[in-house]
Amino acid sequence: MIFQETSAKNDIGIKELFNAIAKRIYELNITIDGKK
Amino acid sequence: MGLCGSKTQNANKNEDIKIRNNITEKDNNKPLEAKIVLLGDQNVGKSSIAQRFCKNVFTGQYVVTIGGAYLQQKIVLNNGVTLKLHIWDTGGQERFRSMANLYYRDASAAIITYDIGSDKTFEGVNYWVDELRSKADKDAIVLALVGNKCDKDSKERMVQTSTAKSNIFI
Repeated sequence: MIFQETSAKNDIGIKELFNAIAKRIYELNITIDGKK
Repeated sequence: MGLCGSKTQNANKNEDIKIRNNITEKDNNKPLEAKIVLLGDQNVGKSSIAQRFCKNVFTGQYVVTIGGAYLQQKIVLNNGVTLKLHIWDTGGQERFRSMANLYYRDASAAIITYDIGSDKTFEGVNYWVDELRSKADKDAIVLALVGNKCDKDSKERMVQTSTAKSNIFI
């Protein structure tokens, strides 16, 4: 599980969060295309 | 005449190859797509996270999300691969919980959000973790635990980072 503290108000940790998620999705090959 | 015909055939073949290559290039350029769902109690900032990431805005207004809201954003990984993210922001009110499975079904990732200034929203995390672990395909979904509003004053912080981190292994 990925853990991240964020602040949407001050733009803290948001990009890092989505980058980590996207990277993990790609590594696991569980994109919509990968799941087909 | 025959030579001319063979030239025409070769030209057609080359055209075929060009078209096929073109299709392959288009396929390669097509970004990979993934569905991400935001879950968590009400007023933890799920919509704000989605809007900050997709539109780079923060309104600060609390508007109840009815059912769910959809946004999308592309992201380029370090290796140059582009991922198109379909982001589903769900309503956090208890009355919308029964609809949540419609959003996390087929999702590649789920972001379970709490407010670091609220114990109650952190307790709510367990509900979503149990829900996803029991109903979603755990090998095909990335789970992320997110403590939002981390810029709050330390006196307002109710959930310590270490407590949250230890929770992710449960």
